[in-house]
Amino acid sequence: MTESWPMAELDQVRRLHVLAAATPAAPTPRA
Amino acid sequence: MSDQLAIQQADQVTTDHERIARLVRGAQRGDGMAMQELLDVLAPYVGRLCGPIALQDGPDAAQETLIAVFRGINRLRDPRALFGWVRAIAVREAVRVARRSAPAEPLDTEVPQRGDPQLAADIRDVLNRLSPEHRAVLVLRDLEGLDERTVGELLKVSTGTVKSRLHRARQGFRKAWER
Repeated sequence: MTESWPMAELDQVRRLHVLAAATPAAPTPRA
Repeated sequence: MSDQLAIQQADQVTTDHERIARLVRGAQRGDGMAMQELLDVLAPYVGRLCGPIALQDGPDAAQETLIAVFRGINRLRDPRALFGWVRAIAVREAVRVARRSAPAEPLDTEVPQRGDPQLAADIRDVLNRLSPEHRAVLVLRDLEGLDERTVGELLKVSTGTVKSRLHRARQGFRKAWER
């Protein structure tokens, strides 16, 4: 029964978006 | 089950726990490889929770959930609590994202009858007629197997509210399941 429930897929674009949003920003080099 | 099989399964569980703990610790350090591997582990679980609650907005909800998970991963002290912690975030995000969309139709119209094309389509149709909050109760109780008290704690509602939502949600499913 449970396999008939709709499942949300995370496509490649969303996957990259998650990783980009989760990765701490690299420190900005000082001028 | 033979003793040998039981030992093998116990070893597998231990290995999985160790792997999850390693990935969580890595993600907490900002290790990109660990984050990617943890994403592989969590995405199907999150998708299974967000799909039936957020329906057409499921992918948005799954994405928002996983972003919140990785941004908050440092707050997770015990990796063994990972899936329970992720579940709470997934349900919260799925309900929030679904509520941004069109409101559900009231469940007082015809539910799918025997002989309709596909059970999967029937289930989606019934889910569509429920509010996100009702769908959340159904998913946590029937898909995740949580007891009513735990469901109430997760959704911040009383056990009585859980029971009434569950009753209403199951009414819709009864005819679809009585095939």
